[in-house]
Amino acid sequence: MTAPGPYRLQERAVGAPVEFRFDGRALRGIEGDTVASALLANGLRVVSRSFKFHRPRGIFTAGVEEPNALVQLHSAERAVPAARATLVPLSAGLEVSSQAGWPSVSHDALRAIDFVHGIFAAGFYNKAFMWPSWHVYEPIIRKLAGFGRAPTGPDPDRYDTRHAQCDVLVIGAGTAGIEAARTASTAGQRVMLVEQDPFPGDSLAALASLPNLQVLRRTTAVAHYDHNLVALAESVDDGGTGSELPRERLWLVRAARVVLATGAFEQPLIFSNNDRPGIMLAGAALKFLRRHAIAPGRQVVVATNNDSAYLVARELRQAGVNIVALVDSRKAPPDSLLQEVRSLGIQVHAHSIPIDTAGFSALRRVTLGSLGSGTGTGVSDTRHLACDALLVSGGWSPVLHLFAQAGGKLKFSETTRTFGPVAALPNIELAGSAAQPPSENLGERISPVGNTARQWVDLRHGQSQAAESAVDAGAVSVISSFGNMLVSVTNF
Amino acid sequence: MLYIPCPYCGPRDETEFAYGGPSHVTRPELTATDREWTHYLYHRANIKGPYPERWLHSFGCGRWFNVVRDTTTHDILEVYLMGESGRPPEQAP
Repeated sequence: MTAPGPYRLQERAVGAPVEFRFDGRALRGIEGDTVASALLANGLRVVSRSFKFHRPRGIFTAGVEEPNALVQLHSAERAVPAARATLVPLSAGLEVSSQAGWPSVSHDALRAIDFVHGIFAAGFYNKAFMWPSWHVYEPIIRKLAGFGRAPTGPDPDRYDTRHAQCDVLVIGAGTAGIEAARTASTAGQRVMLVEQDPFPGDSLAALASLPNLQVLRRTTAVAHYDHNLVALAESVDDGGTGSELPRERLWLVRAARVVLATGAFEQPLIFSNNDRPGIMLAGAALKFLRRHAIAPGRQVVVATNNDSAYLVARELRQAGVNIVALVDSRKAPPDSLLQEVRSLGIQVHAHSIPIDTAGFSALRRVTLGSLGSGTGTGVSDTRHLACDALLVSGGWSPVLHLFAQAGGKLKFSETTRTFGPVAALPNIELAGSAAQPPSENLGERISPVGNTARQWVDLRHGQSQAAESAVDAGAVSVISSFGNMLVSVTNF
Repeated sequence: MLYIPCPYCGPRDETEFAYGGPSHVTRPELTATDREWTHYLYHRANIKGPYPERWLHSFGCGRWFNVVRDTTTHDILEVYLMGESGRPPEQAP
């Protein structure tokens, strides 16, 4: 049996086909897919539009940090706007639709706005639409933005609330979270382990035999209140099947100790037109490959400033994906890594960065620049590479939203180029890469300068970096968690 | 939401309690001046740091007690019964 989808790696894919609809079009994924992986497998690159300029946007991440792939689920009174396609498990008959674009998300006439973007500078609305009254323009502008559709009637589903107490609440079932839960459970403490990913790893199943341990899947810790009260949102049943189960459950858990094993988000690289569909985080591509047997493209370029993307390039190559080139901004990447990827026939461009991309609704070409001998960001010796996927890695930033909500202060560290905790909080523990992000021999985050096309630092909120100010910037450090957290841009 | 250790029932969620304002505010004699009465009724220190206050376990034992709460961190530093005076400020943590 062949697994459906032109971008599915046949020899790796397992699972029965699952039918679903995207914008009315019948598509097939396989069991174990998320909506995002099923769309990628079918080669649907444009899944949303940027809300001001209607630039086409594709799936950028594989998790909760997804800035682009916000989709509408179900219809009528059960409609769910702005669901993250990367977190919704595919179910038979699921209706998915895009939220923006006219007449459709892939062919959007409103893209015209983007071609005259010069007149729509930041703050443009405020000045231009005040006469005779903002309320005349507001409905039109809201409609253009594409924020999804509200349900048409009262919600027919049930919702549930539960209160619970435990000795240790572990948030995140990665390696560090599972280890923390195992240790506490073996020591006789009552443990709750929370994971939001719909398809956590196999190691979570091995925990089932432990005593005093409750595992909540598809559950997101949404708030951390005083005295370790944590609110959890659990997706129990996607509804529509006549089941007696509630659709979602709100947990209020009072924990004596909280372990935040929330991991780290990979950071993007900043260059001109870095928002085209087909550009994706390298770690996300690896997750789509391992979990869902998906090739990110036919011709893939990987761009990085650290070691972690070498693994991605290697695994993709070994899975039979054509890696056109690996671009590393560092002058001297580690020899062992270079040998490994070169032995697989991957061309490495060291001390180079992507400076621009081309393609109308999907990526067609990336332009590389060599950084030359100086220490500045002057780019020489540009070259073009044809590709349909560009995987970027700008290092990893710990996920500290809950830590900050609990009152923890954060500070930017120049050595790790991420925000980290200033001091520990009582009864809250950081574990794994939330405590110490993998350094991966991080190089500087270098963005191209002296070039007029827009460089996007926050895809969700449409923040672009002005090229002129970047000229003076030297190294540009950007931390963005794509809409969940503040965007902090230093040095420009 | 605070987790308040009731001296009679043990720790409970804040929703079970009612707040009774600052502790140890002494009511003046009936002969007191308007100025003294104004001070008693309206003037509060609004301390940043450890703050003694009264709580009523209204959905529990129904009894009053005193709590010393740090107003910057919400840490509960001390709990003592009505009529007691708690630790003197210099010994408070």
